[in-house]
Amino acid sequence: MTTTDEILALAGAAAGPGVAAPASAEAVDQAAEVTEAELAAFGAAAARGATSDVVRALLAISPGPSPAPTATGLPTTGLPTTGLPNPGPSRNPAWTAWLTGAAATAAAGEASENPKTAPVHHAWLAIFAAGLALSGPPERLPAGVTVRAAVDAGMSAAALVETGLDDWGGWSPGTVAATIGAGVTAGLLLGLTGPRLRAVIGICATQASGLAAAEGTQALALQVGKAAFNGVEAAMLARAGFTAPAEPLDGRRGLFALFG
Amino acid sequence: MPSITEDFCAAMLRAARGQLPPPADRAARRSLLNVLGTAVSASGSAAVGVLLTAADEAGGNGDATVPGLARTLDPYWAALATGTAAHLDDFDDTHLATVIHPGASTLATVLSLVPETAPSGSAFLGAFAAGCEAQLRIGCAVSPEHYDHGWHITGTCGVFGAAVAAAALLGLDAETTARALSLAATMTVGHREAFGTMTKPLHAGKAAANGVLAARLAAAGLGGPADPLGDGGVLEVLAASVDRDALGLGWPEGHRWELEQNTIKTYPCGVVAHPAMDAAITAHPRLAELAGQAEITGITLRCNPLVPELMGREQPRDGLESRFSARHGVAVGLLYGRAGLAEFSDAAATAPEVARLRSLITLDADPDVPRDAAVLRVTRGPAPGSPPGAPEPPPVEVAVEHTRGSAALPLTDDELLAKVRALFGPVLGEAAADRARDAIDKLPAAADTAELLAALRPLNETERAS
Repeated sequence: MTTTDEILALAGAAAGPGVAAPASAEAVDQAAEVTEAELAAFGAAAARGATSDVVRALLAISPGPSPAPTATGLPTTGLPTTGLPNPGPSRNPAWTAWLTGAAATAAAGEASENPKTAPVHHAWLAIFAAGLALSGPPERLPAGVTVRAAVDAGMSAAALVETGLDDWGGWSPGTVAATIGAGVTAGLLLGLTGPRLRAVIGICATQASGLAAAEGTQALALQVGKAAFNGVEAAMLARAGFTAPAEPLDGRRGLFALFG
Repeated sequence: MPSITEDFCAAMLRAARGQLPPPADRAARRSLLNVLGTAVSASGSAAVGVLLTAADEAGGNGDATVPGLARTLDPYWAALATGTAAHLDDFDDTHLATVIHPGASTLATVLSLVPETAPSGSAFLGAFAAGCEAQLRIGCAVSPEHYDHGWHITGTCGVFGAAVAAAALLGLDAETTARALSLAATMTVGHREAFGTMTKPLHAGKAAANGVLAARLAAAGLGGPADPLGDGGVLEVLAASVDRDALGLGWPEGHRWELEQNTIKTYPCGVVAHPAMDAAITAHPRLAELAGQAEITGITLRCNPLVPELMGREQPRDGLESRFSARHGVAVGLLYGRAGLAEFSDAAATAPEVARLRSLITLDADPDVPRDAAVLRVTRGPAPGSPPGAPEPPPVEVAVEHTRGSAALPLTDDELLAKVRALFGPVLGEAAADRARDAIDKLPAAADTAELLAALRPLNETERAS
């Protein structure tokens, strides 16, 4: 079973009972069970980061009406609003994800909001941002999928990716893994399964990026938010029929071979 | 004292905003015309259709031109669609020393920014040239290790070229452009694992879109790790072995433009298989003379080791996969005497007669064979109905010393125009290719890009020629 197969299995479990058995990797166990408090903490972090220079710059270059989220209507979490300006309805959830992920990262750079790892784990922030961007009332979500379950699956996927390598060179393992996790979360929230969800992972893997050297610079918040952006966009493209390699992680020229 | 990255950016911006030396000017115009052809040709492809669907969902309408389409998009989606289209058929260009296809992402960058920057013709062409040059020099600095490791260098280095081209059009200074490169360094895209899927050409589109975003964010005041091209920067992340001299810092006297080494593809597939396909097409009439008299029983291709490495698919399942099968290229060359877009379609990839011939081909990798050379040997059995023990016909052997389109045997301007006419033809009509060529030739003195853009768009979707 390849890593992509494992991710699809755990995502299948997140999509509803009886869809597929969850993966049993230790990394998944460690990352699973996102709590309501963690989701709320993410919203609070994003709200605090909403006035950061990074978010101001992103708002300045984002197309059309600000795609910032209200964060209201989350079916399972009761997240607080992020505090980002919101003059119109979002047309592109990928931008919402970038803004929210960057805002939370900017805030987390000042004070840790991550109860799992200190001081902050990038994957956690990007995956929550992807989930928030595609959240909505239960009747608008795919049957059997909740935001919490989708985020949970994304976290588990990211954990599988991040623990797949010992040496990441100068890359940022959290940000690289976050792209995969954000894609899985977004894919589930768009109702994708099977080959389409596999394509999401493929589109994400090939653009997973981020530098360890970004720590301490504005690029850190940008790259974490961009991981969320790329994950959401990949899900949109895969839903529309975009194709990608079948084994983007374990393949001969896939993610593990390149980052290792 | 400026950093290495600032020094590099200053040189690129000077090049973009000055008068291009004649050889670089010619190389830029040829590369531009070529990728406009490939972009127009693929504008109706399934991959571009998916991007347009996603753009619709995302509210991506705007004013930027996508070659071959009547509709216009916002800069982000236009860059994504144009870059993807231009590289989709693997029919664009190749800088052989790095294996970068520089034209697609750079074209996508400069076209996407035309509405808001309203560049003069020379500014447009200069930004295109500098965008290509920047990514090629960075590519040279991390070659060959970066590509050999498995990265799709067109995407990973393309984002830096896109950032430079965008910076040139957006009027950024060297310090701001250096910050754009530091942000672009966090947005690299491209694994070779994606070859044979829609995700491969997306690398070029995403490189363009990300490069523009990096330039915009830098213009808005943001920055990342200092001096990304300097010691211990992103180049060392991209490759363990870095040749920083290849950056051409300060643009020393006599330092050539890498863009002048960019070659135009003659077949819509991986460039390392092109010599083999030249050989197959040369062999076709000799085999056709004997059609019905003898059946091909074996085919051996002596080739550079990069051929099986990059083009090793044995039985591709569709047109995109066939672009990474040297066996497929040789098979269609032998069977049909040509290897154009039709021979790399889904139908050709799954044709039984092509599959049979592919199964007979052995790739004999030989490091002594240069990248632009190949030797093809075709053996045949006795003619049908021959008595037992009848002798086999002599094998047909063709050696190619330099493939067409290589640096040693570049396409002439007329051959390039013929290629672009064929690409424009089904979409906009062949005459539009001539108009595009004329408009490109006028760019150095043109006040704007209006004439060029007019040649790239039908008046409406119903006027598409096909």
